Amino acid sequence: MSEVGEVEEPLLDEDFLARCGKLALLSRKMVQGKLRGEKRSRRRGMSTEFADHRNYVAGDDLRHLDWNIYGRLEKLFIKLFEEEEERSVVLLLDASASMACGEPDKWRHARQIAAALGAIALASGDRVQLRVFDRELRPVMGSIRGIRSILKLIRILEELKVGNETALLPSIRAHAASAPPRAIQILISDLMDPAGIEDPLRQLSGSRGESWLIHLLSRSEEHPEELGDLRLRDVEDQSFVDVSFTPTIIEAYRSILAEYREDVRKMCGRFQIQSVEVSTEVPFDRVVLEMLRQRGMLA
Amino acid sequence: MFWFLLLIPAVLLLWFLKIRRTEKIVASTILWRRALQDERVRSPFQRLLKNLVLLLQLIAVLLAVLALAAPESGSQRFTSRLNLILVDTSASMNSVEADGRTRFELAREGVEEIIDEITGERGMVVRFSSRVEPMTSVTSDLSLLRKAVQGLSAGSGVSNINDALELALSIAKQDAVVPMLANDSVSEDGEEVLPPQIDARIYVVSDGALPPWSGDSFPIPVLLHSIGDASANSGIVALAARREFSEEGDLRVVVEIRNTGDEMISGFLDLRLDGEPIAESVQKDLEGGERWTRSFALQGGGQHQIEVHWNPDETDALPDDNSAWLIASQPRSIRVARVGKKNFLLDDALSVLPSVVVESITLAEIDPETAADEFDVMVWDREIPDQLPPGVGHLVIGARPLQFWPDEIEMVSQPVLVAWQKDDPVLRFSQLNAIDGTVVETFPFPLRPGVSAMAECREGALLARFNLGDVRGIAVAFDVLASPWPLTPSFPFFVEAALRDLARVSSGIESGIRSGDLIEVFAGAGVSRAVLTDPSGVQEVEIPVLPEGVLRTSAGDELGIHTMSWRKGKDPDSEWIQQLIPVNLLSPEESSIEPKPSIGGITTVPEREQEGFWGGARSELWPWFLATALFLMMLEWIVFHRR
Repeated sequence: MSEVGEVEEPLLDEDFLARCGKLALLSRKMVQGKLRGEKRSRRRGMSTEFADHRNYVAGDDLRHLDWNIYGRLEKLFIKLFEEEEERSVVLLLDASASMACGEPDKWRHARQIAAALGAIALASGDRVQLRVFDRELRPVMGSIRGIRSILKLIRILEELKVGNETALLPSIRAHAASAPPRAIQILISDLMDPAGIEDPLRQLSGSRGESWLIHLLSRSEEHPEELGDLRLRDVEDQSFVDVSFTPTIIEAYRSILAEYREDVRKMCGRFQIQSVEVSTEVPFDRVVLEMLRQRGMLA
Repeated sequence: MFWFLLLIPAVLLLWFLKIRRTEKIVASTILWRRALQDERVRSPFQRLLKNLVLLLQLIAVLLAVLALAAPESGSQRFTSRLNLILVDTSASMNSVEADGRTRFELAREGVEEIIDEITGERGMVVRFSSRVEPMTSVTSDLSLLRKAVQGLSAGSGVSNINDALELALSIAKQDAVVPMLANDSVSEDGEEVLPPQIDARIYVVSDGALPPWSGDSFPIPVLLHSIGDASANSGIVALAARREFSEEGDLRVVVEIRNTGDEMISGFLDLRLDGEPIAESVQKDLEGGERWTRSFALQGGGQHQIEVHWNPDETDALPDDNSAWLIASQPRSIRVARVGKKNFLLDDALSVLPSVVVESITLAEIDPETAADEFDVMVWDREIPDQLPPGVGHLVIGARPLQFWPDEIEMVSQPVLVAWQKDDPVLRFSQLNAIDGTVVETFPFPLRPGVSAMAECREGALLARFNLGDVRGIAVAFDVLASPWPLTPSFPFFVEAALRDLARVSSGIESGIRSGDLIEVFAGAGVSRAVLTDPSGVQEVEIPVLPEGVLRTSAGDELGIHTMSWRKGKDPDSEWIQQLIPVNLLSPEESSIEPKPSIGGITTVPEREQEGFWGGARSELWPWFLATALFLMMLEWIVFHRR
């Protein structure tokens, strides 16, 4: 996490942005629905499944102009193909204080992943909303669309700071009440909420659309290497626990963490949330370009 | 106990080395709490075994709890060895040593050393001079012993070591318990085979100027902590006076000075009458060990205070024995009723006695109810009523008081005298050889309650005191005319002494009361209040009034002339009656201050071999438990930080 006064490096570099243009978010429901059995095109405008027109607005891809209508009516219309029925992608970013902890810290990692997924969605024509939450949902940015909005998204993410303690349930409930229909909701969080995660995940899956969970933990949280006697103080509620780090206690912690992750997986399976466990040990670009593609979440 | 102060740096070390945890900010403590709880629950015994730190803490707590229980080791008994410390506070302990300190100051230091030696054991302090007085009870709190010793001081009494040793032995015997056998083996019949054993020691802190032990072999160790080196001393060891048998009652004073050291001591002797010198000082050089007796004649009757002072040329180690006092007072007349047959020898004896008024009466003229008011003594010569009148003294000669001997007594011819009480004041100046085998016949009095023998033959008492209730007297078991006794000088001495004793009238000479001895004054009936004033005239002590007006108290440690005062009747303005009482040291044993290394007559029994198991003296273990607990806590800290 960047210190005050310290200039942070850009979340995404140009090389990665260029690669984002070749990717698209894969909606599991859409693949299973109308486009069953069809190969989905990576590029817009190449499909022959004409669906509809809409008025041209500045920024639309000129390759999709319907020149026939322009010739007849001298009005600009953009062709809408089947797969271009407007899809929203909501990035739900956990901006609670716990995200700033860990080595390497999760906050940059989470923003990089959010920036990458947002860039991919914008590059493939999706609308993107960014919502951050800590103890409450904080709308940060309205719905954006188009490639040119990528930089705006990145800039907003770079300027974001972590907030207060985590309250998943009210935040996700508030999101669910105003979530766009049939959107892909991508929750990026460490799920460190003392109140529990089952109800928030249930709320997430209850809204119409598709839910993804990027469960993010830092390397130090996965593999603690401390020794001696420490007082671990919770960054959010300031409670503490005294721990004498022994191999036994570290082993016990890992066991608990594994159980916790297993519980998350089970809940996600129950609530039909696609989940992926991400460690800050793994560079974000590998997370996006390899892990998510292997999981079929990106194409 | 001061080595426990070493624990202070240990505590400071623990404080500075106290675990200070480094604080680390984490995203959440949820999983860590669950991990700790899980670990705690999972395998408690393995954790206990594996958790050396916890084990050490538990052992430290256990040791601390054991320390609070104050365990002791050593003897199998429930109590530790008993140490009885007898401290000599007699006059000789006031002797001044070469360094200017008195022996008692040295004795106090000696007692402190003994108390240091008996740490972990029990003790008791007893002071002894003329009287024996426990200063503490048996206690394991040795600070109480120290406090008692600090309050002690030497007096002017003589050393009554026998009573002190008897008291100590009695306490030690009461403390005896049955020990356990050495190898947990018991006798064949499974019963204890050892009698109660005494685990005690007696320390005697003294200069050794003590009379020998007069009892049996002493069963417990007696250790003499000898005090002092000085031996040069001289002083007055005897002073006596008596009135001559003259009309004026002239006085004859005899004084003995003794040099108890080895070197010659010179000095001079002063005699004062009522504070005024009545003779020139007599100078005398006394060789080592020499005894010098000097006699003075004083003319005239009346009451007088006589002081005798011995003034050595050089400073004396023990000044207390350099002065003595006497009181000579005019004795009041004794009213005597003479009843019985004609006896000219008895009448002659009665007639020569000064201050005796004799009235001859018949048996029929006696009124028992008024006899005590009319007479001090009734002399019965071969005639006696069935009931002797109460409240008056009786001298019965040649008759048997039926109240004490109702049955006939078999006659014995020419009885052989086997013993007589030479210390009895009535017999002090009598030689009874004249009645040894010379009495024609007698009816010896059997001894029974209320009767004590003054002179005895094998068959019974020839002279006896009888006393029961209001009836008291002296009886002679034979007709004096049937013996040569009346022809000897001892007979009138006996008669006079008997009359004074029975009349409770002094001879007019008050002497011989040593400090600590009993002062007894017969003030007569009707006494409402009595006080005793010390020689300085400052301190007054109320004296309880006993039946028949007897005033009895112990002579304190103050040497000099005390005043017994009493008042009769309820009138607060009634006159005080006074009697002067001189208190002197007059002790050759106390004046002989040369320290002695042992107590005569004490032979200790060697300590019993290990038939029973005593073990060592019990010692407290709680300091070791506490120190070990603290050590374990330090070890626990080291283990904790090095994991």
